[in-house]
Amino acid sequence: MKKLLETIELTKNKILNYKMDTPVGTKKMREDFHQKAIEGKNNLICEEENKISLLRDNVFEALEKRFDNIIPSFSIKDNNLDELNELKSKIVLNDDTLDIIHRSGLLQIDAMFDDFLDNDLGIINGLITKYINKYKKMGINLSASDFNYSIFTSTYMNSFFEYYLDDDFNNKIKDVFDKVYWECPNITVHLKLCFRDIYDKYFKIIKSYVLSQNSFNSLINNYNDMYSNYISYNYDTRVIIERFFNDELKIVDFLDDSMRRKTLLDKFLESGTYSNLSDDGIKNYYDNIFNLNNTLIELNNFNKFKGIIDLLVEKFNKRNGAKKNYDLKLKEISKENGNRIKYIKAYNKNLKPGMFSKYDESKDKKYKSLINDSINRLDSLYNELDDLNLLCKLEKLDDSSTIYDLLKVGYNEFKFSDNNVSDGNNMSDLFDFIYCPNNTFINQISISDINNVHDIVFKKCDLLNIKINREDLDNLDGILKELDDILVIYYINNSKIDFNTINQLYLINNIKKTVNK
Amino acid sequence: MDLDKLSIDELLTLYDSLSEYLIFLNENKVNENSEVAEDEEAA
Repeated sequence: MKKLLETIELTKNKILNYKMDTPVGTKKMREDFHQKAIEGKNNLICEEENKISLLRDNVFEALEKRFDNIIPSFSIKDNNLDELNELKSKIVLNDDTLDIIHRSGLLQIDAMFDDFLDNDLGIINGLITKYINKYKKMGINLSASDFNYSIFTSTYMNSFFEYYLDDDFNNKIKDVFDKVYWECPNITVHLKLCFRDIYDKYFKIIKSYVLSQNSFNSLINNYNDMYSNYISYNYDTRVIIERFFNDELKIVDFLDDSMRRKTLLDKFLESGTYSNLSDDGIKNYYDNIFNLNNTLIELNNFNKFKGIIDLLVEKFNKRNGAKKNYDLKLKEISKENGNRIKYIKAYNKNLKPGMFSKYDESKDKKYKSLINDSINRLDSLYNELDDLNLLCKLEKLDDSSTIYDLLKVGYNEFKFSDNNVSDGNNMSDLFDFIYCPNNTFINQISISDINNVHDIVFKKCDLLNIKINREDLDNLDGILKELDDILVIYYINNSKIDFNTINQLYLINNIKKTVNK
Repeated sequence: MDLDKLSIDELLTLYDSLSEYLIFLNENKVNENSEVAEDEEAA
């Protein structure tokens, strides 16, 4: 190789010093000389280009071959997201600490219905289909007769079932919706309350279906396995290498002579340096790092859902007397439901007059309006009832209940949490937090200590001889990134590859990216 | 040259050197319409 590089240097000099002009001869002779020199120099360059390009291609091939020989394959399979979501739904269905409506999956559709009340008709119809399918799964075949909640739900759902299998379903149902909508702009609210009514009607069957599910423990074990697989997958050697390839990790920070690597490994030690640790010391060091990492992931989740936690604490402090108010609200609802049924009967009677009465158009309008007003009142009453239902559940807790107990109540009240979850998070994230097998402090810290969580975590670190500043806990993203880097070092040190080799793979991969552009 | 006998670091160095050299070659190509140096001065 040395000889080749020397030859290249010589050729470079030859090109740089190529004689392009002559001072002697006539103008014509000098022009001819110049023209020939251009030709000669360019020919030399072209020959070199062809030769060197070919050689470079061969070097690239040799590098690719080495790359393929060295790079490890993925040893852990990533979790299948659909499988994971299916498992989460099953856990909810089997979790006997949750309400029947939540376990059945109907509450989740209710929450979506609330979100899309003023939305596209296609979405509303999609949600109605979801309801119908969910009921079917529980052995209940809904039909048009289940939708007599109001004259408008009845009209709409009669057509819904009539056109359901029609190729032109969307256009036909849109025409029906438009007609109903002008008479009842609140049709979606009517449908929402109609599904609430249907739930009450079939409650016994739903309950018996839900209670027949009792494999919570084995499902949780599966979930825990999938969770640890998710953690292991992130630190699989090949996955770590891919993280270097996409520049999520910077290889210069991990090489043996990297200053950052040294500072990072010493950062959490109360005294001394990482390089001076004994074998036992190193083992203890990483035990602490894993512990700290789990605790700070939990703290990070706690911060993410602090908004919901604070709202729950606020409601927890107002919980007294909730059950009494709940019962009163139920009575109000029952009375208003009686009104609704009475108005519907009167409306139908007017529509089909008997021998001694006749159809009265003004009564038609009057009863439609009364039905609408009654359903609007019921909508408000049910919202108040839902709020009281949350308070009733909080009434069962006391100051010694844990953050976990509080969050579980919040999660059980799916619609409340769905509405109050902060931007960037969703109910699936809340599930992951609550059911995370690595949680420690949320299951131990009581509601009364909720505002001291950061101090308690800080003290725990102190007890574990982990050096950490109190302010570090306010910048968890930064410290979690550092811990992740230390874990990368741990896992690579325990693999068959080292950082110098990863650096070589990284450089070859960059060449591959350029060549394949 | 037997590339199989080179280490990965040597192959990477060689690849970089060849790439740099190819850039050099490209930059040093002469425009076929370039004029004689004396003429340029006269202009």
